[in-house]
Amino acid sequence: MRGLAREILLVSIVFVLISSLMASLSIAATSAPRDLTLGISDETAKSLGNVCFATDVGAQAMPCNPAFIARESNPNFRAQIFAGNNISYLQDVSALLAGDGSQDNVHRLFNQTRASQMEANLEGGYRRPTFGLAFSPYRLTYYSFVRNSSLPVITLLAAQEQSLRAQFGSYIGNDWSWGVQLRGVRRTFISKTFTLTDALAEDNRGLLEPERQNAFYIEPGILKEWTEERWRPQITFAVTQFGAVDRKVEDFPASPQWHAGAAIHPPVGLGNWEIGTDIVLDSKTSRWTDPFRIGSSYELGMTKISGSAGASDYAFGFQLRYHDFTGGLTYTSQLIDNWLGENEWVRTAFIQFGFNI
Amino acid sequence: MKNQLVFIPLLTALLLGACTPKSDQHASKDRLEQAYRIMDKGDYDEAISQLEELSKEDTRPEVREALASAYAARAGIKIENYWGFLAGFQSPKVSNEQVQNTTTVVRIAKVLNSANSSQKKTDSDGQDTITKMAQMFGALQLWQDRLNSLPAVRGGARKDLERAWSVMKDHEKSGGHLYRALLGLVLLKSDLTSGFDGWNKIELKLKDYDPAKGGNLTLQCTADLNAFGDWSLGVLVRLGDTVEDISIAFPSKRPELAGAMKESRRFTREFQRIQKGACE
Repeated sequence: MRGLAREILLVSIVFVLISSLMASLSIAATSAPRDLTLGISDETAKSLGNVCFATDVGAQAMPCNPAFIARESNPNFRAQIFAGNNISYLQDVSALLAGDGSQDNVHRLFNQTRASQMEANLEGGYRRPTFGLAFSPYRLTYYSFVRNSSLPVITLLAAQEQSLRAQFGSYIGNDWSWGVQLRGVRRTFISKTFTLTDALAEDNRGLLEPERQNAFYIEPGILKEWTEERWRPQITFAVTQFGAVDRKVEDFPASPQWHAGAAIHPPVGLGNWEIGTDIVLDSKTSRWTDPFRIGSSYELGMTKISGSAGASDYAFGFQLRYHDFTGGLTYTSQLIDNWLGENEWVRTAFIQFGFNI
Repeated sequence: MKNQLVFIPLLTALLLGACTPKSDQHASKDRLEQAYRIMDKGDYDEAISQLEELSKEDTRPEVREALASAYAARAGIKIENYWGFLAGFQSPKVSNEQVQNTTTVVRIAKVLNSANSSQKKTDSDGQDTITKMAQMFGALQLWQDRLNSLPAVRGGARKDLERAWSVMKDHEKSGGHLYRALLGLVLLKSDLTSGFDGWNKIELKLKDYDPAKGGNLTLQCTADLNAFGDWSLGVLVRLGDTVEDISIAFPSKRPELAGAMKESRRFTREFQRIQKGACE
């Protein structure tokens, strides 16, 4: 009993210290969020968030957690186009560029209370038992944030990525599986903070000069299932963003993320239902509630519905499959402390089209 | 026991990691972002106070820009209202012909002609002073017409704008010079407005002059004339600095700006030469 109490005390101390460490590493957020710069742009990753590391559902090119490739049953080829944005000022910019702009358009443009972002991805992948390969020739991300209405300061990130990833996995035995993803990324990007007058001055060429970064990641994962149990529980572990870059860039750090997840498959009369949870830790985790997320997906025939929720956001996705084609809509909503310290809901809609052969 | 001993170095590493201080650059960047936030909330006094403190330790151009923009915001000058003007700024064409055609010079020429046609004695020195002064104001009117869309500031707002203009002196970036040029143009507009207020009073006096009542049409050597002399010196300095700032930001405009500056300086110096001689 005394031994157990000591163990509990030690675990509690470790937990408190880890939380303090994470809190001390928080940095003021006027740079692009990590889930945009380093995230996965597909329907499953958006609707389930990091719970996708605890499950393998959806039409994405490859599973988030490479351990799931070990249980791939039939070879198949998948491709998808995915895009979405929450940019609120497109209309104002269009009006100004067309010469129809008014002072109101300009005022809205320079008095934004939150950042705007966009992402799009084109990817194709081939999966077979124990092996998978995926190539994305274009992943586009865009982030902008304007503050100081007296002399607008603009933070801009626009990036184009090409990535090639290969997954290898296998059963270890006793319902344990392992997998590893090798991922190479080539990025071309513009990442600058400048004032409006910097942009207006004649020698502004250097402002939008593109830079490059090459990265290579080794991302392992582990899966343990209880396939004989009625609810088929499973636990997962994964490490992502573990690798090296040829030059350090603040927006694209080589900083690992640690995932620990679990999922169950409640038996239902029709279709397949999966409920999962995932905890993710990285250097940007600032509050103790940030790592936790819960998600669920339900698939019946050609329809799949999925959703997830975290401490301050939720997402909902709907996917339809017709023969070899898939299409879907995902909707995310995040509660933020906007630039003026007010609560604001930021809503983003994504669309996805793809096919599975 | 062995497992528990493993915890000790782990706890030590975590504790030391938690105690790692934020780097100075990040801390300064945070304070700058905090100042932007305070400005966007409209508390310019607090933003200025924080940025004054920050500028003592952080010499980055971004901090100076933020401080200048805080002063400008408190003076009511926000670039969102003038960025179109700034992007499309064109120098006025200042030449003899353009100056002679300004309303200032045309009006004064009519007044002088009317006086000459009826006067028995002519005061050529006095008329020369008036003519040169009108030509100087004519040249400056060309600038004032170009600055039509800018406001004139007075009192506390003007002091804030002067501080902002001073903070941005010798900025490292062309964008900084462009912002300083905007501040300089607003101050120039304010200078010209106060100068033209005084000139309009002189015009009224000249218009009220009745040759039938006798006397010469002349300008007395009053403090007003000396004040105009000092005023015109100040305007030239401001104009010269602002033209230089615009030329750094827009190098392709340097030739036209240099030409306009040279002519403006000529008309002003001609008045200053006569003004000093007339009052000796």
